[in-house]
Amino acid sequence: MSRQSCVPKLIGGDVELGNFIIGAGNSSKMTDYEASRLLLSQVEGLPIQRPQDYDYAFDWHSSAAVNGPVNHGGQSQDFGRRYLPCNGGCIYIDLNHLELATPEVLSARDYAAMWEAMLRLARQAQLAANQNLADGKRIVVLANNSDRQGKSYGGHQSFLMSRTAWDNMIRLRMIPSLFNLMAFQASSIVFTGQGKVGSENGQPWVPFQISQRADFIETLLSVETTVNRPLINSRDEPLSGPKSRGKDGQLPGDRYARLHVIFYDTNLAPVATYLKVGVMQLILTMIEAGFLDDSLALEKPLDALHAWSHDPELDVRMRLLSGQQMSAVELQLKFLEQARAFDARYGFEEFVEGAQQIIALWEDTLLKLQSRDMSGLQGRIDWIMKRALLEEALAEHPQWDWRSTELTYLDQIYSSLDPDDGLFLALQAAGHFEAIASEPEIAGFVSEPPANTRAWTRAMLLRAVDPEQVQHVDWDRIVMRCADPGRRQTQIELPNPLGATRSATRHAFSDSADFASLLQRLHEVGVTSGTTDYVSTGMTVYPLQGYHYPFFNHSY
Amino acid sequence: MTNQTRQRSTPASGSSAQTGADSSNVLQNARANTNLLFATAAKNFEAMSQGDSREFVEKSRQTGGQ
Repeated sequence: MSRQSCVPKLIGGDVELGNFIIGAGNSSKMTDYEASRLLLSQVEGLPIQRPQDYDYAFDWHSSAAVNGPVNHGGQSQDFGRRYLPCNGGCIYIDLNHLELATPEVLSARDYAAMWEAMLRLARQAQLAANQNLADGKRIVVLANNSDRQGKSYGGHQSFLMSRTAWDNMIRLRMIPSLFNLMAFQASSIVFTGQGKVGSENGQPWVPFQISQRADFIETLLSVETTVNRPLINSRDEPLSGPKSRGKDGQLPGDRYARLHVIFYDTNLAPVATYLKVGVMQLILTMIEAGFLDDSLALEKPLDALHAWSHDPELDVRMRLLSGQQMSAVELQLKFLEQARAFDARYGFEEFVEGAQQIIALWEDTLLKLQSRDMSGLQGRIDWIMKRALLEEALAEHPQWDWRSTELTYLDQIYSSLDPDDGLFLALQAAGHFEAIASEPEIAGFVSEPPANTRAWTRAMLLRAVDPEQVQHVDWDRIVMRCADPGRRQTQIELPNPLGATRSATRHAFSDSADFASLLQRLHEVGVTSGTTDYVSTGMTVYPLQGYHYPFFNHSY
Repeated sequence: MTNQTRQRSTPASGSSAQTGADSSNVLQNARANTNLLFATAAKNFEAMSQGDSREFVEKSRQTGGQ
């Protein structure tokens, strides 16, 4: 057990949305391609992308595009990334889905606020895009994970881990860590599921199930995300700059890894969003510290996941490696016991901001699940609210059953971002959901980045630079074309997700008269940059001088 | 919460009309227990035709993602 091996559990999310156009006639034609492009065209971000930069010829401003022939050209999986000066996040298209990537946050509470803020940005894009469509047509945007016709799309989260712990668990296949995480995730659907009508992907039909993603999770561990999806994803993409060449390097790229979690449903209920990431922060801290043994591991994690998802009565017990049989709620209560023990002995607060509040709400929610107090959980958990809503709909309409088209429609429209038809939004507006973040916190993240991660400096740099000169942006760097005749480029490094915070760099922004002095001031506080020729592989060390950035007129 | 999910899980008929009168007691109980979630949330739903729901569901078909 080594508490020293733990790192703060920074969180990010990259979430694909359902998007399509209705009222476009010809009901058999898929419209997700056009819908996602029309939505992205309304997002302000950098680098600037013009229609000709994209992978096809498309009339961005005419609704004729959805009627006339469209050149579907190349369909790269991920393109059109627009990093957001407003909050440091990013919006792009992934496989014909508008994808919202939150900026890095440190707490579950901030994540819950940021997720609502990102949904508002998507809603703004939807409103603007719909204005360009012909009468009778509109883009529908759904925050869910399957089309109920056999296709799934993800709501992923990323968690900062120590490189050592990630390597032990994923690369070296340390079984207790892996199986603890599998058991935790599979049983956590009792509070993270959004719920859906029916089954998909060859699973036996059920009227209603807890998780939208469970049917699509087909293997235990894999790098895949679009086929044969795993319970635990092994993508090794730390987004923390380069690694050093030495064995014991001290660069962020040596110290940090990113656990890419593709398993979870997308949530609308704020408590579900909060618990989904907050409890995962606790579990990963315990795994990182080597605190958990394998006593909670499931014998067959995938079977357990599918069985529990198909059992909204919460009765089914599955076998652990220890031979015990437990329901999902009972297993979660065991993980809670472990978290209580860890907290009493070592404390979470250094690594998980707001850990006490997370534990308290987790416990209260599990106890309510244990006692089947479903009415007490409707305002916290999406699948429980959705199930109650659909049962009411069935009671009101005796001619329907769980296979009726109307039920599928209501299931889908639960997650609509349009307040005119979105069932979640209507219930939230009527006060049926418990809040986590305050309205000022949510509205704040629509227009401002988190102050305590590198997202703050990213957003401020995007505001400070001449947009025309931004060549490439990634989570750990910004590359700019220089304004000199030498066709050089400047790369500003942001490798440490926990660094370049507002307190670290704000004076650099407020005290610099031009971009060259800004880079110099940032360099002094550890945000390095360098220049290179486009064709050169060598990076020369800053300082640079003599640049003129006409957009350098922002307040910080 | 009732246990309606299981009680209404009819065989794979696929026809909503076939189940219309199969569980009147359950439906009456559910009505008595209603807390108006559906009325609150789906305020625009009753004005829709069956065709509207069908078009929505058909149009919601998506490319598989991550």
